[in-house]
Amino acid sequence: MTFFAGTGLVVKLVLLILLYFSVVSWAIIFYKLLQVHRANSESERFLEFFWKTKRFDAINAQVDRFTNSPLTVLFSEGYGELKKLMDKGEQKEEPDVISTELGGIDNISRALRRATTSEITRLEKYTTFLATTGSTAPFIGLFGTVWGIMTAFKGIGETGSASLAVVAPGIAEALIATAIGLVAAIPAVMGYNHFQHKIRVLIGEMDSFSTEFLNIVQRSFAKK
Amino acid sequence: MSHRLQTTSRGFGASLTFSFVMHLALFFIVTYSGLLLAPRLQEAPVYYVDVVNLPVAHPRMGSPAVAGSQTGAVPQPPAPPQAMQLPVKTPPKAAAGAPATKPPKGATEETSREFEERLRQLEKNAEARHQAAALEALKNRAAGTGRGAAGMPTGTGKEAGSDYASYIHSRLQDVFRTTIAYQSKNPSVVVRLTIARNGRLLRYRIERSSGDRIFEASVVDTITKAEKTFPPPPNGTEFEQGFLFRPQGIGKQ
Repeated sequence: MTFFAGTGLVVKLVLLILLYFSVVSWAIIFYKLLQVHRANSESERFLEFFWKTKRFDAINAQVDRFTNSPLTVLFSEGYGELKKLMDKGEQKEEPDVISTELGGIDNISRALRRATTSEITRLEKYTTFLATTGSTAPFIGLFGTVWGIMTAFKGIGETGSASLAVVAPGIAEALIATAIGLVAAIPAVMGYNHFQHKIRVLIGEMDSFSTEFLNIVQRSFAKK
Repeated sequence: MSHRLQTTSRGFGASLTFSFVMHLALFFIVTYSGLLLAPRLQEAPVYYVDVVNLPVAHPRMGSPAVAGSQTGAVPQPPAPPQAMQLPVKTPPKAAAGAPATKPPKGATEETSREFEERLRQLEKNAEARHQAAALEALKNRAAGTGRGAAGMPTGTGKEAGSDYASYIHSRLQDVFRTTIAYQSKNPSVVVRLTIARNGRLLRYRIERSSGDRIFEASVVDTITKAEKTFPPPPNGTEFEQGFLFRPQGIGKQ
């Protein structure tokens, strides 16, 4: 507490901003770790269940078991669009057949694409804060250091003494701002890179699942 | 319509709380461990030591041979200096077997006076010799014909260690530092220089060489460059001297 009491107003403000960045960054890191871990594990389980179960309606009934997987969102969107098209076919007395003339496959493809985009947005949520922290926290810390050193030198000028006992504490207090800036930035940058990699893997899985889903729909329901 | 387009951000609040608690704990740990505390530097007090009147401990105090406690006694102050006694000439024995007689009181005063007289005479002689030598040296310098001792300005350049040879050696040494180059392990070259009466280099002859061409070239380069700084030898005579060049330096032959 003695340390914070000795710093100037600007340095205190800088330290508070850095503390905010650090707290939120770590919160995002914990949250994303949990989210990505759940998404990966539940996607694996969903894919296993998907290939084992032959019927879409049976899969749709069990989809609530895998709420954290982005693939279930894609399936729900695709299945919803497929069901609408089939309902339309029943009205035309051609059950279990979707018309390609009406662009049925394209509709499903668009629905899957929209779901993929929304899931990417959800997965990437908050990661921009990590990037911002990684890039700006060192500079904010540096600003605090520069300000602290300026203040320290001003104090030296006023006291007229340049001994180590006068210079060192001021500079040490000022350098703490840079240190805390780096402490906030380093985990944020590492977390951002880690989550970007994990999200890219999940996007690849979603693309593959979309393609497989469209293939199944075309094979099973499209009019010859 | 989409069944579930977005999942909720459940758990972020919990993460935020956890992060805040973690930072708070870290802050208290760091604060109480004193890691972030500003250094409290205190200037060491200045002690002034009087080196002139520095107290000296008794040399025997605490020495390995004698324990300090055993020599607690204060050392005795040194005895006051006594006046130097002049040597006294002992009178020869009068005759063997004769009983030794004490010299009279006036004899001691007489001997002391004789000694002082002799001392004064010796000092006078030494002063006269010194003045005569200085006068002779001044005469020789003025005439410029006298043969000086080795290394004196009046040397002819032919004596061992004469001044001119030393001067040439010094010039060569200066240039050799800048031109030295060699490829063998321990090269050496002996060169005999002949300098004309006007100070120009008449010739140089390599008398002995270890066979290092690069070193020989550097020696020749040294002589060529140093030649420009050679003054005429004293007494209007030619000067000839051998020099041994080695990487460690130049020696006279």
